[in-house]
Amino acid sequence: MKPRSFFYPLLGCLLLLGAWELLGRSGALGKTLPALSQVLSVFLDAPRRALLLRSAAATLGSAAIGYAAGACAGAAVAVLAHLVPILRGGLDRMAVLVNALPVIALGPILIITAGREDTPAALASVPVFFLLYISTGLGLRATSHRLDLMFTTLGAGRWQRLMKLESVAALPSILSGMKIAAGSAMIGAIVGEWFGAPTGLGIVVLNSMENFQIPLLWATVIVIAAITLASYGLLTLAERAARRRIG
Amino acid sequence: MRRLVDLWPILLLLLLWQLWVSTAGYSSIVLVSPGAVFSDLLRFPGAYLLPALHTLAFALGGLAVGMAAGLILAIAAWFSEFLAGITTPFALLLSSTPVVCLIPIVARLFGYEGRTELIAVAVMTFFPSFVLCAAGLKDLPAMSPDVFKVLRATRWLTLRLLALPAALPQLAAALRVGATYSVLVALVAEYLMQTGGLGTLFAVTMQQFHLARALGASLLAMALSVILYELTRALEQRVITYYR
Amino acid sequence: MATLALREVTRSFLRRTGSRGKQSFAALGPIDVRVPDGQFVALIGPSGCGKSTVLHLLAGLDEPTTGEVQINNLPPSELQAQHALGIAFQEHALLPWRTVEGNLRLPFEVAGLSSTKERIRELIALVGLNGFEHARPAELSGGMRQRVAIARALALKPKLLLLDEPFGALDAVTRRRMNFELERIWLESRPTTVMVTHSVEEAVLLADRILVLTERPGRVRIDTMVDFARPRPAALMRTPEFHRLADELTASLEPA
Repeated sequence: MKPRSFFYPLLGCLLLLGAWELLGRSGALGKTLPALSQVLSVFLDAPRRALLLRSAAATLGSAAIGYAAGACAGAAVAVLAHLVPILRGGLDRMAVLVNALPVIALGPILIITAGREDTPAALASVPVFFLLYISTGLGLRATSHRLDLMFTTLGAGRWQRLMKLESVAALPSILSGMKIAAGSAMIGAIVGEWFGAPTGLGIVVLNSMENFQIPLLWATVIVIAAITLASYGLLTLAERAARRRIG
Repeated sequence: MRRLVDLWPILLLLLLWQLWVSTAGYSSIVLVSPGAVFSDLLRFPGAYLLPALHTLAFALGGLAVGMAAGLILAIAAWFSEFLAGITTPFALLLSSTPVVCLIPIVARLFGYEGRTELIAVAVMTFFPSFVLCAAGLKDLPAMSPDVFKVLRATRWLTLRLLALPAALPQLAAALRVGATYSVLVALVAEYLMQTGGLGTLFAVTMQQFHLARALGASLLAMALSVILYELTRALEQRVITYYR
Repeated sequence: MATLALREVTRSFLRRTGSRGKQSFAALGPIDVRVPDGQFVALIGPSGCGKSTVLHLLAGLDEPTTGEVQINNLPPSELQAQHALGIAFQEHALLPWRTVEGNLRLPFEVAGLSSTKERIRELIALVGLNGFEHARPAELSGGMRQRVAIARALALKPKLLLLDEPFGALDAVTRRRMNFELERIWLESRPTTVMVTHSVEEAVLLADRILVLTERPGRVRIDTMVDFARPRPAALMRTPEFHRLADELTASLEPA
């Protein structure tokens, strides 16, 4: 079974790359889809490579800050909702509202108030907040009933219960949320850059569009996808390790 | 009564907003009070109605297309392990590229019109639908595949009578996830391409410094998004309790 | 009518040993058994001896590594095609989104046959679940769910009935009650039956014939007939003959 589950995706990869190259060469989709080789040659060109690296660092930085801020806030509010159940209904509603805030509306406001530099991080934190709030809440509630009862018979206080039982049991769910949040943070950061950030992958996307530098545009998309996949992969490994540890 | 009480955070946020406007002293081309926004919404509903319907139509349309595409591909993957394997890289690539970055590319291919907006929403809703439906089709009651084998059920019958009904909870979850973001993606597409709807209304009124209307459009979009989320979440709950 | 024949059947699996290489790992056999029509056979043995494997082979869910499995001199797949096989597992495997009635209609739907309301009502009455036609599995107790599973196995009047520890998940009291229920149900049509069980008493109570398997790879250690008259009353379980047979069989299960 194992070789097949590795071989088929590999085949799929090769088919995808091959199709891209052929479609691009044939010009079937015009200038919009250049051949894969053309796109990859962007990475070989020193100035453009440097641009991509610089921009990636900036975007990654904003995304990471937004991610950290959103995750901490989301988890903290979830813990609050868990400890003070009367608040939970309202906090759930609030989380939904925050998540539904249209970025295009937040953008201009944040530019003025938070500044051009911080807007990407701020926009990255919003979806992360929501995802971590939901997954932390789910995780905290997912404690096995039997273990819960056992803690009661041991005379455990609320704080001890939270620290020793619930937060550990919540870990798989939290990591699952963190996994999904990685992609959202990237999107938030990139869209945030569109409102006037000095550098970043979002800016490169916009500029390459305006200057018809299509291979550069695709190269940027590849970089974005690669970063998202890499963070997703790392967090998946962390999630698996946590699940194994918890049993 | 309980539900109304839960609305306290909205009131809190509105209060904070009002406070911010009152104390920060920004000019009205930067920020307006909630009062100004609501008054514009109430006095000129006509200006908002058509754009709101436009956005809703495209959001729901894209949602339907994306959900259907995800379900169909999940079923195809269920039938053929080969297909499941070779489509994985493509699905993975699609999921890790933000839809909003793809909008410019899709626009070049399909034109700066409504079609692209629909495709953008569909692409965004496709991936959760595909992943969740594929998982749901495999989440079968213990030993039931063996029962179906003994009964000599064909692949199609097994899909129709066992796998598809079993996948319904995950399908409902995918609908909820898709609904949450469909309005927002439609909004971004409308903003970028000026194809109508609340996103375009926002872009245009921002340029005219008519901030109250711009924020009104955003609030309306937000309301649509929340309503869709609540509806699909309620649906998901019903399905889950039915299945228990 | 179903006569069973397991001719010199073995079943081995390939298992990974260490870092590379696979080794053949014998799970069952050789087994050579003939079962005449209408006989109720109980299979008992220590855990892992391959009892469930025998059932899977008879159901056509698995194929022997060597030897032949035949039902009426045909492979099990033939019986599947005739829709003459009924099986019930320890997990009830009922569809949670269908009512009891819906679950009982399933074998008919799969076979492309139409089910009549009378037949469904008959099945429900047979297992004593009158009034629960429209209940869903979540609303039923464990014992009731197993009754539905058994009724479903009997829906198409199978020639061969296979039961894989059907009462394993039930508590002792319910289990005992279900044993008597099963005998009553079985007496209605007397299909050839093979039941796997961990309970020696259950086997002695229900079966015409008991096969005791050795530890893995399971081979037939004891093949004994159970001659008590049917229907078997509860009082039978207090007789010395019952105890003697049960004790002998229990002793035979202990490692040699």
